[in-house]
Amino acid sequence: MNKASMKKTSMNKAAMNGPALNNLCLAIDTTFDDTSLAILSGRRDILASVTLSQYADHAEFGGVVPERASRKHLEVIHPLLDRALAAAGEKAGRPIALEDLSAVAVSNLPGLIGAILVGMTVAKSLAWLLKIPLIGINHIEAHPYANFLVHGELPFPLVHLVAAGGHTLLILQQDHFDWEIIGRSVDDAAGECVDKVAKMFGHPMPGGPVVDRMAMEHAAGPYDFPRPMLAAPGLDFSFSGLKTAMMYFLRDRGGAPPRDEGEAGPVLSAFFAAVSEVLVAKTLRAARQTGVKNITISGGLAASRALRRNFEAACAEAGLGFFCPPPALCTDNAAMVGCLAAYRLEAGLHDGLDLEAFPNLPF
Amino acid sequence: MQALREQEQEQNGPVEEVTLRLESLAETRALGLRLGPALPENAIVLLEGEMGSGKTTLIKAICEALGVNPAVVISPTYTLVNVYPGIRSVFHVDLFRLEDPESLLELDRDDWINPRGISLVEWPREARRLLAGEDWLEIRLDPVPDNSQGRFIKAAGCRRTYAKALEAIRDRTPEHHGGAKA
Amino acid sequence: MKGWEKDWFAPGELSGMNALALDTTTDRVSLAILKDGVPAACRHELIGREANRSLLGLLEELLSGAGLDIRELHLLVAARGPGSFTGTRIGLAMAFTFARAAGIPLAGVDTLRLLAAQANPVEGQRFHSLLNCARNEVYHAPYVIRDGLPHPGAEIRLDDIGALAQRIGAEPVLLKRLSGGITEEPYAGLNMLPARDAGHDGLRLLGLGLRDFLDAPAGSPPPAGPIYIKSEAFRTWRPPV
Repeated sequence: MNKASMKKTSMNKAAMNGPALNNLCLAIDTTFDDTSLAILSGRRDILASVTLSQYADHAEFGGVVPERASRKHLEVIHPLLDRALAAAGEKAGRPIALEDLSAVAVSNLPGLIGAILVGMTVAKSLAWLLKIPLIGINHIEAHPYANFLVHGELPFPLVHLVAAGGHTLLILQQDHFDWEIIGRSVDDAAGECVDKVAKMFGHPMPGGPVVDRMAMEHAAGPYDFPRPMLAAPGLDFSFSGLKTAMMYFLRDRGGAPPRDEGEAGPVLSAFFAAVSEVLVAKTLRAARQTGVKNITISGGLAASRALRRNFEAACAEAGLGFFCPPPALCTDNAAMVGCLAAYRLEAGLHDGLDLEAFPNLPF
Repeated sequence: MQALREQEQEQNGPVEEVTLRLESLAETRALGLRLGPALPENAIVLLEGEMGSGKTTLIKAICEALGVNPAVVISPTYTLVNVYPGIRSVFHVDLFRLEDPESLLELDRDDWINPRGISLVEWPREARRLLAGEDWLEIRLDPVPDNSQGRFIKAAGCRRTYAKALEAIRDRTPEHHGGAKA
Repeated sequence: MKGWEKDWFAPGELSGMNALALDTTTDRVSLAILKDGVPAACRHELIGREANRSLLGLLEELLSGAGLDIRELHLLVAARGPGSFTGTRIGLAMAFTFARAAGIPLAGVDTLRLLAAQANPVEGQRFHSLLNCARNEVYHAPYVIRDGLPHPGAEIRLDDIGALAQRIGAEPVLLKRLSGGITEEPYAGLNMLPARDAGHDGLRLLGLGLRDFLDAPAGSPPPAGPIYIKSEAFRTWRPPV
């Protein structure tokens, strides 16, 4: 039986290639449609950050077409892991192998359980096999850490606006791991409202980029879209009514949305001004009510140039510090997961191999 | 109403329909509050109605009646499934964004139909084939021409499973509401 | 384990070889270990969707009981479905990761063939492997036993049990249902083969994977990607207008 001898030698390249980089953490996120991996050294040195959707070719992903790969995490996660290791090696100037990792982090909430479990099983299997700590991460808690990645240590307390996927949340953070949700959308998330309105105008999802472009390139037309819950006290949002208002607006004009950008632009610009005004006003109200001097934004909608511009202006006027990540770190990514994981690891907060996946944020 | 029902439902016995007209959001909410406690243990409720038709209002009220904090009842368009713990567990499903109905085929039933509680499904059209053999209650919300807050409600489900729920939809007297809660 | 597959672990042939078999594609988890060419451990547990929490603990228990480290394995065998989607993904995510991280070859075995190995028919007799995971549909494929191995007679399909039962008629059937009994129609009308102890599924998986792996050309182990099957009825269905 000579096949018994075919076992490959253990990949201990690290030992052969000089000193190990310190505290390399692999971070995995499969909470949503996309599969994201990152390798960080310490808190904020991103050696690699890859997501399936950034690849146009799909030969290496077993025939899975990235743009139609929603939730195909199992099929693509290992080819992506190879990409991440290769990218990290390139950045570090020497090969990086799995054996170089000192921890593995994974988002274990919130999301579709079946999707989370793929990333989590890979993370657990690696943690067990490599005998390194496993760190479970709340994907929503991780979003603001995109700011820590690029801006370094931020002064607590902070108010975060997280406008990501299905959530629009205001979070008050007193310290690492010490945070609470102080405001939330009670129906549709802001990004969802933007996507659905973009769809009414014939733009495919995600609609954020095209609406943002309209908001940047066109002055808002004289349309009076509602500012839902702006007048209401408290810090909750509602965007369902704004979406409906646009639907009725289009219906009153005969149903069909204007095809011509010259006509559609000012409408969408006015619409986004309403979204933006509510987000800015409520976030600043949160800062005022809590006496917090610095705010951050994160999540997919935070990539909007128009929103950032409005936040910058409002924060400057109110004398507040304002932080936002570069667009690539606004949308879902595993680098933010790795950053929060580094803080958790330093604090000795890691998890057992019986870590569970949860569909929701803890209420 | 025939168009609303799929013929595969007939295997579950005679189907009963209820239609009514609501005049305000408050009445939509009241309907949800009546309906929640009247749903059977593993109810599957399909909600049809265009954007802005009040599905969220109705679902929030159903959830509230089931002991879920209504503030956490948000759109699952992006997450596909929201899971709410209450007196009874509720899955809140939204298939609006489903790019490809076949991708639901690659989820286990337990991932999107609550195995131990109630399932409320918005935009269920693409999923109907997957619901073959299931026993569901269907609720349709349609606009009323002369009242922007008004809604026509059509509900249908087989009597064997949903008699109490259909009764709760039909009966808007306060006594029924109180009775269902107690 | 006695039966037509007893030759799978013929003494001597596999000597020096260590392997692990893993099936999480249904509501039960099956694990088995080969150490130095001899089956050394086997587990069969009803953990279903809890696999995520308890699988690694179970595996560690089994490996340390056998005195093996995962890196000492020469082969991984994993069931690749069809079955529970989440279960299949957990098992394969783990198997892929071990294969990738420890450099161990991985052989996939489809779940219906593993089920077929529970049968005890005479050599050459055709029978059907049926697996019901959800709704009224079953995954199914015909098999014959030849040279001590179950060989598929057709591709795996997913069909309505009623229509399939009519088509199969009196041909022998091996059936597994993840929920529901076998006494209701149309299941009750099937010509059911007696199934052997499912507790040995891990060993059967190990055996099938080893045979397939040793019979495959060097460098191209049996494929291990997940098997998802869609029914013809769904593929041709369109939502009501």
